[in-house]
Amino acid sequence: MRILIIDNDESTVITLQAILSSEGTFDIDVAQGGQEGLDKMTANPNYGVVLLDIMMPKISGMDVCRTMSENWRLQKIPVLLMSSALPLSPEEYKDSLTKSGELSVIKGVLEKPFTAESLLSEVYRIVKQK
Amino acid sequence: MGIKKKLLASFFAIIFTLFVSGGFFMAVDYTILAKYMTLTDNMISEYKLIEETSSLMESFNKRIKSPNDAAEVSNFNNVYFDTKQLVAKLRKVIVDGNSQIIFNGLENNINDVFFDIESGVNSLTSGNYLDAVSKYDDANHKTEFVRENVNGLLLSELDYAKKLQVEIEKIRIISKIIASLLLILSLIGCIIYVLKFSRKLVSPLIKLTKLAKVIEDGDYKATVSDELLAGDDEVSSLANSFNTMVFSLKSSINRLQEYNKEIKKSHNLLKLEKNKLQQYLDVAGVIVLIFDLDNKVLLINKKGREIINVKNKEIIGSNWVEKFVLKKDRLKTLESLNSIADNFSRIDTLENVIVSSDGLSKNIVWHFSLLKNENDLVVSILATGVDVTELTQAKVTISQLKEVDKLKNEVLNIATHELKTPLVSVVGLSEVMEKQPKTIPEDYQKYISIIHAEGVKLTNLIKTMLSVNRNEVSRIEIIKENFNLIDLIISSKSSLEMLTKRSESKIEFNFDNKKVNINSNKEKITQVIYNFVDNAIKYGPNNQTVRVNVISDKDLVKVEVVGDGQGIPKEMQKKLFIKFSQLEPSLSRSQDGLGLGLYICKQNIENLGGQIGVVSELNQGATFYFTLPLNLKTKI
Repeated sequence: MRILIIDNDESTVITLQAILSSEGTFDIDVAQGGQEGLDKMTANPNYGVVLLDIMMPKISGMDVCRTMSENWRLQKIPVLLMSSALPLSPEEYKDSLTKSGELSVIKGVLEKPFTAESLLSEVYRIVKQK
Repeated sequence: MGIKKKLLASFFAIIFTLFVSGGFFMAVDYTILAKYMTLTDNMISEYKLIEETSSLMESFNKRIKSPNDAAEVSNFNNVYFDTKQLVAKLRKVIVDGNSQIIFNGLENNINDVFFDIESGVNSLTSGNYLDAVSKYDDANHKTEFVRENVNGLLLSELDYAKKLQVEIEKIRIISKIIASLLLILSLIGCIIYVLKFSRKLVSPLIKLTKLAKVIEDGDYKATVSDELLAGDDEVSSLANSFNTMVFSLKSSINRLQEYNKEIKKSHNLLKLEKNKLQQYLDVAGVIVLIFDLDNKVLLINKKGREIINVKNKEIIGSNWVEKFVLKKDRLKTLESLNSIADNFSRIDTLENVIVSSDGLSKNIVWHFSLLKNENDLVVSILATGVDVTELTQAKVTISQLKEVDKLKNEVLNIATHELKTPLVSVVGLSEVMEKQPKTIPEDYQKYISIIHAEGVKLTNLIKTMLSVNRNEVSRIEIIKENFNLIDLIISSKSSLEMLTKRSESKIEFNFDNKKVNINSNKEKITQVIYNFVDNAIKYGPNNQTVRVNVISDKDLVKVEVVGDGQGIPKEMQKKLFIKFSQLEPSLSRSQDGLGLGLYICKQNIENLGGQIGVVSELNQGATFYFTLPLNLKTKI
């Protein structure tokens, strides 16, 4: 399964790569920003999960989600949002974002920092849903 | 009887009296007149008697001279008879005593004459002519006496007639006097009657007038006296009508007095109500001010008087805008008032500065509403004012403090978020490394697990801090849903059991009911139960059994977490749910944490409409519990 990590923080990207690759079952692509992530998805829309950081310069995680929701090819790619600054608990935040149906690409929210365990369980949960 | 009839009766009585007395005097007059006429007749008869006597003598003389002449004899017989008749007639009609005496003499003398004549006739018949002549002479001689007697009689009768004349004169004078007297008497009677009558007519009127005056002066108990009511004339009927009028007036006045009493009662009640209202207004913590459209004060309550520092007398009727509003604010106030008065039914607010009589300025926020009369016309304006002087000052301080607080929160947010991102790597990478024990030396493995454990601890601290901040800063509405509490607890069983592993303890669940329906927030409740169990493990001994009990009541559900341990002193129990509290003083802290857990639990439960608490005795462990309202409406 292919996983795309979109985050501008290099350490986080390395950590995510380390956690996911330790499982040995994932092909991991990395994008350093929103635009790059969108380009990669457009080129290859077969990602099983996209790990998307919200706070990024220029194009934020939210912008990426919006663009994906408007594009029928990208609409089906599940997104796991990550942020260190959530106004609500992750579960509540997810509900509030997807309630209107606009950002239905978001399948999960993780609050930074998270343990490897919680990241993996969330990724597996989303993959199973699909 | 009516007054008119009475007057007519009196008039006829007077006329009648006049007629009777007139008749009486006429009768008297007539009697005398009759006597007088008899007298005149007599005098004529007496004068005739003289003539008769001379003609008797003459015919006797002729008979003597020619005694055989039959004509002369019968003539003589007729005259003789007539003369005797006349004397007999005269005897009957002599009217007065004196004449009677004279007449008696006359009668004697004439009888002598008749005797002589009869003797002469006898002598003549017997043929004694001479004797007859002497008898004639005797008789002739005696006729002289008769004449004298008749003269005397006439004189006497004339005398009597004179007396009668005098008498008639007298009677006439008397009758005149009496008639005049009668007239005068009836006049006097009339006058007296009129006076009496008028008094009778007027005095009741005067009495009635007086009575009317008395009634007019307010003595409605006065009535018309019985003496006026008695009788059947116009006055008594007037008196009766008057009495009826007084009675009806009295009853009207009584009714009016009743009304008056009622009105007085109502007035008193109104007064009481007004006093009450004034008291309420006085108790009120806001200024209550009522003024007319010229801004003249009609009413002000105690608070208002205190703020302006005036007495009631000094402010009532004065123009409050000119007198007490700060000069700078006057125009603004007047404009505002005008716009309120023009725009019906609109209610408006205004803030201005009031200067009290001792020169202190107060910021007042006014709220105006229009008071209308029954014709829907604005008559006055009711203003309630709140003294915001201190508030205005405090507002500045509060906004400054809020600014500082906001800044603090922002700093905290940024700081924690900035801390979190590096922690992803610290925790994640150490975890990855922990999973590769073969490739890493043993000592380093230990170091890595320490890095991981400390990273997790730091993560938890930051999360707790953020969650407190979240609760305080953004009070976002909690999303509630209907669910079964038992199902929720069962689903979190495994994660709760995980907690007990480190102290080799067990966890036991007791539910008195399989279905406990509530309308609440799953996450918050899970968080609280997790916290209770975590605390029980943290602060309790190893190898204990932590019990989670769910007890449902009529409309509440109670969730208890019972743990063993040293127990919590009473004085500490209250402080448990306060921010940053921990059982032990900081130096001897045996457990980690910020002391925020129970504080967050309390916030969660209270936000969900429940209560949180603890029951504990020293060395007998502790029971932490919370209650939540049951959802009685929906069945799952």
